[in-house]
Amino acid sequence: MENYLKGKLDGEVQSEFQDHLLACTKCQENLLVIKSLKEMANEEVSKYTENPFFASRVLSRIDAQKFSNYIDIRTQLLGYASIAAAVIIGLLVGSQLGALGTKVISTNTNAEMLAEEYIPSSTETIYEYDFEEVENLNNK
Amino acid sequence: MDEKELVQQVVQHNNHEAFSILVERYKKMVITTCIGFLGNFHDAEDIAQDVFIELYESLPEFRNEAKLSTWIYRIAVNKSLNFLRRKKRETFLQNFIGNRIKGKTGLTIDEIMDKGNTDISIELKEQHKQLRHAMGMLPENQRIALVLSTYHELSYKEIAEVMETSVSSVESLLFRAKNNLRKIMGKTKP
Repeated sequence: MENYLKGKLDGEVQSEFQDHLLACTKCQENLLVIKSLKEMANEEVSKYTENPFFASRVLSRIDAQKFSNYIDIRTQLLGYASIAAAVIIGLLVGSQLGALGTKVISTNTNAEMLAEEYIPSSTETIYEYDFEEVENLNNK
Repeated sequence: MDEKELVQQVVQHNNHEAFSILVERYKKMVITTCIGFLGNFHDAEDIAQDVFIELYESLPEFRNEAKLSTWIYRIAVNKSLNFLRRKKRETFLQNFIGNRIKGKTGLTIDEIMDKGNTDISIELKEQHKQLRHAMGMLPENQRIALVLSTYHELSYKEIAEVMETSVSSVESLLFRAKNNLRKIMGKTKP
């Protein structure tokens, strides 16, 4: 059918086909569809006028995309760097706090030793402490 | 410079000039394919740009086993079909919400664009509109075969290569596509 439309059929085949076409409505409709399709394609494509800046637009879009990919990678790296910095800062602050804690503990230890001297830990409460005995010892 | 060299230049040296030559060589083919699917050159040109951007990105994967044109046809077909799917979803949502964008004249962009085309008869325009609508109702594989055959006059073998199927499948797809179009057109006739 397409060859018929293009005029590519031999004389005898063409006349045979035309005879068939006159008798067959299905083939007439099919031929009409193919013809309309071709016309539509030609009409739609002919409307398009070539854009001389097409290639340069494509290339500039590629460049823009590359740049945005670069920015994306940089943003991503920056994100990773911030996380790493936060972890390092956290560790530093943690270790400083740790050292301060040790100092506090050692200060506490001194205080505890002093308290031990006056109030031995063997006594359960301050009320059991024998103040008189201590006073006598001191007077001696 | 032949095609292989151009591809090599782009892949190995990121040569923009070589890619620009490829774009110039294939732009008409790509735009025609996109017009075949979309029916208007405004969208077709935008999608054609996307096709070449994807080509640029996918060129390192191109192994010269198939022809470059076959590779480009595949990208163009996929991009066009994806665009249509997206548009279909958007149209559905727009119709669902009942928000059809119209200007002061009360016309949509498509209607305004159509108004300018006074060079073809109204009857023919209506026929093309019906045909375009009917094409939109075909299954995707039938539509692909039909567009490649009608807009590019590719042989069955070439269509089979693009669609990665057999020649007999293409024959059958085209036969069914034309039959379906005839049926749909028959139904829509007043």
